[in-house]
Amino acid sequence: MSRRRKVLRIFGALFVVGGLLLSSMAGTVRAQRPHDNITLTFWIWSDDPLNHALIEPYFRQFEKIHPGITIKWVAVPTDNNYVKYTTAIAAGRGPDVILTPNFNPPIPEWAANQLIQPLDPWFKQLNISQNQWMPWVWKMQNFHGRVWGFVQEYDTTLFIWNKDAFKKAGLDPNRPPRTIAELDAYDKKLTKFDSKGNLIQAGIVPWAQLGNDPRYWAALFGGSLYDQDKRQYTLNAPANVAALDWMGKVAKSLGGAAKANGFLNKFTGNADPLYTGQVAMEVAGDWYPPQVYARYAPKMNYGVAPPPTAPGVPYGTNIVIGSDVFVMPVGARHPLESAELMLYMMRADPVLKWCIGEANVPPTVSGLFNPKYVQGVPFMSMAVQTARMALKNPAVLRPYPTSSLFDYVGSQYSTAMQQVEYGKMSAKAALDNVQKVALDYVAKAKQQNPDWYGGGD
Amino acid sequence: MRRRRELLFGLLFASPWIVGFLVFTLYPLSSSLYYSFTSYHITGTPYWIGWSNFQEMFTDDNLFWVSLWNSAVYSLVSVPLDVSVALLLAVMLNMAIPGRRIFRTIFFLPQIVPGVVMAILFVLLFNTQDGIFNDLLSVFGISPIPWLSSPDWAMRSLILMTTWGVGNSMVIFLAGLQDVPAHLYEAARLDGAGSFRLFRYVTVPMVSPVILFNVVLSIIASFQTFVVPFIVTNGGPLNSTMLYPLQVYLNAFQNFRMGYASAEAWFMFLIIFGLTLLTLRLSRGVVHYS
Repeated sequence: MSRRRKVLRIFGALFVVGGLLLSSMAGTVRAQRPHDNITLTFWIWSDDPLNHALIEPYFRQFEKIHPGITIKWVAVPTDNNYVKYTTAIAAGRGPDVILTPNFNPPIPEWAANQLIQPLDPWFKQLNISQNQWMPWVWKMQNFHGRVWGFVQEYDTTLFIWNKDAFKKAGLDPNRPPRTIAELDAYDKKLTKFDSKGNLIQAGIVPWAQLGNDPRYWAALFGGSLYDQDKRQYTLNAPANVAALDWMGKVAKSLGGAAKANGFLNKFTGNADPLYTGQVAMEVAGDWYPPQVYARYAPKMNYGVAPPPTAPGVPYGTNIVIGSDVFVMPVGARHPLESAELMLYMMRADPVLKWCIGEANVPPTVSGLFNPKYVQGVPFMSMAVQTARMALKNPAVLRPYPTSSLFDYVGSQYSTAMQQVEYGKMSAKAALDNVQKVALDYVAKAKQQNPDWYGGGD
Repeated sequence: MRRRRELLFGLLFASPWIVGFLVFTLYPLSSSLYYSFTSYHITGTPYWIGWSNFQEMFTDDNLFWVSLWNSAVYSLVSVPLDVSVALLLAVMLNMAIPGRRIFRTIFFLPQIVPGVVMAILFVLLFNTQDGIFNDLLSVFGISPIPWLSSPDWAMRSLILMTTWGVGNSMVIFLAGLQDVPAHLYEAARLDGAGSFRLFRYVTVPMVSPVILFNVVLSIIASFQTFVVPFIVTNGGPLNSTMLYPLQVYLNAFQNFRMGYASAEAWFMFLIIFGLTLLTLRLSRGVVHYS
């Protein structure tokens, strides 16, 4: 055989082998049969032992009830997991079920961009009723006429204070501020500078921790960034302007935002100046006491209460809420089994176990008003009280907007917050500007995707 | 016949690279050029919109101009600074001093530290209250500088961080310095030249091609800086460190606007290409090729 033929044969063989290898790596599609061995891939942001302990026993129970189904837990770490989830789903390499750590982003954005599938097809089949969920939770998961996920829990925001710092400043350690005026008065007593003018203790840094959520202080001043019913942005509403104005004043009292942020920047990772009283008060999530303080500052002497409110806003109301959500990505290989798994995790028992373990709020009627919940997490009785108020007056709780453009608009609002904190712009000018940017963005989105944005975002 | 056979064998052995180039370089490049003329969200089909993305960039996106300006400032300051520092270090490490090999290794070590690690390290060093830099300044009675928390100082801090990574340029300069003929220094010394004149009239002209090479590479690298602003400041405070590549990333992966981000990426390519051509053009009367 000539040398040339030999080389061509080897080359040809390599191509064939390579082609076979490549084709075997591509996903195979086959018809779903009830008794096939199925692996449901479940993505969650956390590999924390606490989260495993709260969820995995129910996964094992589900596997027993559904022989042939195995659930595979995959932790996708929180840092940029929104980007990782999104690109994986867009590439067709997503899982069967995702439990997201936030509502927005990504849920409305995923829905608008067809990255997750509506769950309505399984309602009849799996006997799902809207009445299982609290009304504000239903509103979060049901928008644009479809149900896009199941809220596993919702988070409420807490006002936390260091009792030892209060005592040192001559304040009653068991009496938190209930109004913004009281908060200002406490802040004056608790903020300290050294002889060179360096900030050594702050009463409160409003934009630290969850205070950086653009909705937070706006809500406590009676404002809102988004009108859920009209599906419109209301970024420059007077109450929002008042909230931002107040934040600018607090920044000034701390010596300027650059000084305050320089002070905060030394606390990296899980270090929080609240632990040592270097920041005396902060806004935090309901999961902070069991997951953060218990772990990193078990000896901290702290109090928990609803956040203070502006004049005209009743104390204990206008609480912003977030949530974790079960969703099914487009391209889930086993949609029926995935829907069954999500519903299984929405039963009273797993919801209660998670919410007691993480000090989150149950989104379902059977969970929230179950006496075991308050027995398990006594300080969350205020969440139950707020929920009862919200049943009569929905404005008491402020869920995340279901706008799919909120991630971008929220980032513009955060820039506006910084402009006011750094004294570069007045609150009114900054928010008027952001409102214009948001309206332009919505108009552009309507042009590019009229099907979704036609009736408002 | 023999030539054909040689060509065939040549192609055969180069085929892995050719396939890799086609699949991993040419295909993505061509795709991104196509996407730059489309409206393309990460899911769904791209549809042709012509020059609209470019129009929006220039007329309707404030952050585009902010990030372009930031990148221009960053490049304008960091490139001369880094090249100068690298050259000076190379000149010093080219001298016959005891332990110069150890010093060469020490100055090159930062180059092998991953960018993310370096960024996190600098967050601690630049800390306003407890960072080493402010501690050193306080020895001279200077008040703490809000390095990363002030819009006025954050960009300066980023530029200072880049001098950490001059090891690569320094090594290239060292190689160039080895090629400077010793007789030129001897002749200059005989004519009474001191250290500064030797550097100015012998060293710099003789390594001018290497300087040009490092300047071009530094310009390209400076316009592609992403890791440090992403990790350290995320473009803040107040977009003062929002460099162009970070803005492209946010448009692509936060806002899902792949078409628009592709248009921005191609504009960046044109900027870098133009600046490279301009640098090469301007170097004609200045660079000495022996």
